Amino acid sequence: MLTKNASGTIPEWNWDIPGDDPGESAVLPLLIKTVEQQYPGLKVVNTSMSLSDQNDKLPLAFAAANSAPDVSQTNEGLQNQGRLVADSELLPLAQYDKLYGWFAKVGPLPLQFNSLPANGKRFGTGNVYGVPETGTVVGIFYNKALLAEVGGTPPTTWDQFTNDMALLAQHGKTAMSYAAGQPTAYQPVHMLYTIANHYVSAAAQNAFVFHTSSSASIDTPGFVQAASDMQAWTKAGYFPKGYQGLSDTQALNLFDQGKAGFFLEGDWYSGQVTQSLGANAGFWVPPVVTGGPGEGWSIPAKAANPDAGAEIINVLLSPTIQNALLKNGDIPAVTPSASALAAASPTLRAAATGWSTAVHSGNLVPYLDYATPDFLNQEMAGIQELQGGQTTPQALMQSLQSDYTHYWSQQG
Amino acid sequence: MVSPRTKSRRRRQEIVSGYLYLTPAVLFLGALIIYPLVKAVQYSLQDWDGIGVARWVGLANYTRIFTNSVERGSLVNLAILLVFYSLIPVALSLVAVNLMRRSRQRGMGFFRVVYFLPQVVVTVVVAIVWTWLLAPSGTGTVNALFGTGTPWLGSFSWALPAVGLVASWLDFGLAFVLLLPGIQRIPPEIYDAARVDGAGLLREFCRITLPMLRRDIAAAITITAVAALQSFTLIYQATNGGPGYTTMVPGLLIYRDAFQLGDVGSASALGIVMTVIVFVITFGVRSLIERNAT
Repeated sequence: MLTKNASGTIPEWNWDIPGDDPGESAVLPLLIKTVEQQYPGLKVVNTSMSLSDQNDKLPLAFAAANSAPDVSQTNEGLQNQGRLVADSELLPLAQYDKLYGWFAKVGPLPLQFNSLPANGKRFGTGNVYGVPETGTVVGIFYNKALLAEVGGTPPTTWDQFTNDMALLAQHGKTAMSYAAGQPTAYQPVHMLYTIANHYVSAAAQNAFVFHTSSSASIDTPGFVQAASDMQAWTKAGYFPKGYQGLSDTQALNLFDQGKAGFFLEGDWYSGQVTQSLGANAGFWVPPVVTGGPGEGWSIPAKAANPDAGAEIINVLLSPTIQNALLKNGDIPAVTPSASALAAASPTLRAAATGWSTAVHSGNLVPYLDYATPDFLNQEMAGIQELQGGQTTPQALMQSLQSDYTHYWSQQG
Repeated sequence: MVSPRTKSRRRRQEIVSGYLYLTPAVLFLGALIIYPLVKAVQYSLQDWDGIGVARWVGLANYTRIFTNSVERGSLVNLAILLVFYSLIPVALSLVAVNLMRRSRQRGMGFFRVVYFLPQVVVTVVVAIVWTWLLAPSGTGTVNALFGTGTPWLGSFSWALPAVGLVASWLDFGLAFVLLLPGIQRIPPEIYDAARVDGAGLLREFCRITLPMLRRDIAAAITITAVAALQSFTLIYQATNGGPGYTTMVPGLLIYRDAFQLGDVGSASALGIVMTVIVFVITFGVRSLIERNAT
C-alpha cells in the first residue's frame, strides 16, 4: 500500500477521449486533483487515447518497464486484455482486492468480463485483471404523456409493458420506435435480448455466453418464445412503418419527437431523451437486464509503481469520483448514495438503480454477441429474416446454435 | 564500315539494356502483385488466424465457398450485380453517346463532367446520399416522389435491385466517358454514306457504331465488371449485406473473414476465386471481341 509521503510521477492511461466517453472523460481532472491532494509528493500524468490506439500501443508499451504506465484502462475481451494477459503483461488484481475490497463493491458480472485464465485464450473465467468505474444497461425508455393519452401506465412489469404497447397500437400510435436498417448499431439484437431476458434466466444466458457449461444452448424454448414474440410484435405493427430502412438515429429521433410510446436502448441515450421529452421521459429497467461494464482499469506487470496505480483505482471507486460520474451522465460501477441518486435525472436514476440491483442480485445478462466472433453478424441477418417472415423462430435459434457448437468444437 | 562483330556486340548491349529498363517495373509488379498473389494462394490452403501457427487444410476453404449457403449466395448476388454494375451502364451510355454524336452541340464538356461526377465523389458519400434518398419516408426521398413508403434498402425483394441501380448510376458516367472519344473517332462520312444508301437509325447503330466501338465497349465492360467484383464500400455502407443475406457480396465476406473473424484462409480462398473470375471475364470479353473482329 502507498504511504502518505510517496513521491514521483505516476503515468495513468485511459481511452476517455471526450467523443468516445464524455462522462469518464469529464471526471479525469477531478481524479488527478484528488490523488495529488491525498499524496502531495505524487504527480499524475494523464494520457487519453482512442480505442484503436489502445489496441495498437498497449502490448508493446507494457512489455518494457520504462514505457509501461502505473495504471491503464484495458478493453475487455480477447483482442486487447486477452493479448496482454497471454504475454504476462498484467497483474492479477486479487492481491489488491484484499487491501481495498474492490470486488465486493463492483459485483460479480463486471469482474467476470475482466477475468481471463493465465493463457488469455478465453474470457469470463480465471483471474481478475481489470476493475471498471462505470456500467451500462439496455432498458426501455417511455413517453409518459403518450402512455397517459392511450390510457396506459408507466411499466413496472412485463405484462404492463406489453399491455401498453397493445393500447398504443389500438390508438393508431407507433408503440415502439425501432430501426433495422443501415447504419444501425444494435437495435435488432437489443430488442431480442430484452425479450429473451423475460423468458430465460440470467444464469443460463451467462453460461451460454461464456460457455461455462457444455450443455449451454440458445436453442431452448425460452429463446424460441422470445423470437416468436418479436415476430408477433412485427406483425402486430408495433414498429414504425418502414423500420427495415431506418437507422438507429432515425428511431431515436422519432421517439424524441414524441411520435412513439417506447424506445428500447442503452442508458447512454438518457441525457438526450431527457433533454427532448423533459418531465415526460421515463426509463424502465426490467428485473433481468442486458448490460456490461465500462472499460476496466488494470495494472501493468512491469509498472514502476504498481501500488500508486492501485491507489488511483481506489480513488476511482471512491464516492467522490463515483458521484461525479453520475453527475456527468454515467452509471457509476459502485451503488451510489441515496442523496447522490436524488440529484440525478429520473431516467439516469432508474438506470443506475437498475444496474446496481441487477448486478448484486445476479440478474445482469452479458451481451449474447460475445458468444462467438461471428455471432453478431449471424444474429443481425437472422433477425432481419425473422421479421421479414423468411425464417421461423425455431430455425433461427437452431442455426445460431449450430454455429455456436461448431465454433466451440474448434476451440481446443 | 562496321564489322559484323561490332554489330553483334551492339545488339547484345541493346538486349541487356532492354532488360535493365524492364527491371524496375518487374520488381514493382513482383513485389506488389505477384508475391501477394502467391502468398494468397498459400494462405487459401491453410487454416490461419493471421497471427498464430497456420495449419494445412488443402482445398477445404474452397469447398466451403460452394457448400456454405451464404458464400454461394454471395456469388449469385455478384452475378446479378454484374448486370447492374456493367451491362446496364454500358448499354445506357451506348445510347447516350449515340445521341450525342448526332447532335453536335456546344457545352459537350459540361455534360461529360456532369455524367462523370458520380465517379469523382467518394463512394461512401454516394452510399450515404442514396441511403437518404431511398429512406422509407421524408421530404426529398424517392418514396416522397412516388407517394410510396417502401423501405427500399431494407426490403427482401427490393434491396438488391436498389443497390444495383445506385451502382448503375455510379458507373454510367464512367462508361460514357470511355465510349465518347471512340464514337467521335468514327468519320462522319461513313454515316453519311450509309444514309445515302438508305440505312435507318437502327441499321446505322448495328452496322457502324457497334462494330467500330468494339474495343471501347470491351474496355468499358472490363473496367466496370472489375468494379463490380470489388463492390464493398457501397454495400457495406448501404445495407451491410442485409436484409438477411440478400445483398451479401464476396468483398464484404472477405472483409468479415479476414478482419472480424481472423479467418485469413477463407478470405484468401474467396479472394483467389474472385481473381479467377476477373481473369475469365477479361479474357472472355477480349476473345469475343477479337473473334468478331475478323
